[in-house]
Amino acid sequence: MQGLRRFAVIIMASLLAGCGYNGIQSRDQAVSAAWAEVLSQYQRRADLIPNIVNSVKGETNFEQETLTRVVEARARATSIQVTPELANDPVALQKFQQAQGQLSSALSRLLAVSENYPNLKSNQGFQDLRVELEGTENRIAIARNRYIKAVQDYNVFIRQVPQNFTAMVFGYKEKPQFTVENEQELKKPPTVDFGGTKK
Amino acid sequence: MHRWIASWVALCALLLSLGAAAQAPRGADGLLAVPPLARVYDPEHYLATADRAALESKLAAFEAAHGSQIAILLVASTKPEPIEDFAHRVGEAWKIGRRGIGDGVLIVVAIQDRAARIDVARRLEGAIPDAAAYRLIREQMSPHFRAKDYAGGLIATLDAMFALITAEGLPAGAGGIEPAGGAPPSTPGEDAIRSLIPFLIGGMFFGAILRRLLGVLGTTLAAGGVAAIVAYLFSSLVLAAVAGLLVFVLASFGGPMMAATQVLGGRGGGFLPGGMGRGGGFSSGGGGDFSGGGASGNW
Repeated sequence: MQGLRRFAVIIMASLLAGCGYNGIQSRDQAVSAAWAEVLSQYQRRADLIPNIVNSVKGETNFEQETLTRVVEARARATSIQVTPELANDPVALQKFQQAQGQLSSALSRLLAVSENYPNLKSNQGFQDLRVELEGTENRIAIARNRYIKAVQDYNVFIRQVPQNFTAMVFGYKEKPQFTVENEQELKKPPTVDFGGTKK
Repeated sequence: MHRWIASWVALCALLLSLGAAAQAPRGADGLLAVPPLARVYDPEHYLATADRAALESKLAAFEAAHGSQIAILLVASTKPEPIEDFAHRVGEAWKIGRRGIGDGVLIVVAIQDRAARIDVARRLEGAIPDAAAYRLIREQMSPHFRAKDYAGGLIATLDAMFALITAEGLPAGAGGIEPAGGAPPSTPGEDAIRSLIPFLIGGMFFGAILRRLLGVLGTTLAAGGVAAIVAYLFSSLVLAAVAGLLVFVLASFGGPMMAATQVLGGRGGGFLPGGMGRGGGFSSGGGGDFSGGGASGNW
């Protein structure tokens, strides 16, 4: 008789009191870590682009417009001031995604156009850069997916009872999510057929 | 009678937590399922039995000597999924590579698609950068695969890959430290159980002391009051009142606490994540972080 009373007290006390605060903390940190990873991969891509542009510039008769578009898109994307707070502001996040999405399309076009230049295709340096770029696009896609999952995990957790009370008290709000439209655009990486059947 | 009620309350708490823990995300339908863990996964038998055994022993020997875990999958086709996505899903599920070091490589070959991918875990991205992985596919795999010599191509690829990995000079030994990313985040069910256990133990002693001091009814009131105060601190007055009332009502039931604690404590260890799978003596180290490194190619 006394045993269950004690047991019930502890159950109620611990379920209603403070349960979830640590969960909010760990999920919040997971979101921050995932966001840092996304930014790091975008930066990696931005760093690759000057090399690619240089290796293409040497190619005579290359469509200058394509090159210029890539350079401009990169400048626009890297000009956005990236702070940790960017992930919490839906409007800024949207702008950031758009800029990166435009850079992705400019890059796809560049690589598609480069298919028509056999000199470029046989250039080992350019091939390496193309591979690195596709690897980076893959890393970006994976980092984004992980970020989306982390944000989803956090948002769902914050909304559930009894964590929502804890969240309300300590001021934890839902975080904005990557939107789906840009997901479609970014899902089209520079589709490169590495000269399989053509060679 | 009271014994049953006690067990029932414990079970309810348990099931509530389990319910929360059971909400794991599911993958999309219509896509290749992640195969069971194996060094060489070849359900369509593109490799002769002898070749497959040779590959497996080659991989096992390398793991014994250097610790890095490499796995090969030969599937007919990954469509409609790009081979990158499939390789990533397998990598995320298997997590091959020593714990704390994370040196795993996944080689996925889709025979009908004539596509191959070498997926490199993060730790080995220095040893096998994307360009090197692509070169492995182009120079070692493609010539053999075009002649349908899958075993030969894989052996040539592995030899070159082994050279790259050993040149990197990774630490020897079985690993064993937690990976830098930390343990996987616990589910809400696990959180609840973990936070309950210290309360349970502490509560036992408190309850005994209070009972001696205040008597049976006094303990009930005190317990209700404590629950109300603590709940109030973290939520609202209304909830605190409800909590206090509930505790008071529940506390009037009898029953042995030890049985209830045992039910809860015993189960608490049982549904922590099981972790790695096992397949023919090959078990994943669990440390591999496949974040998209590596390269794909066609032949």
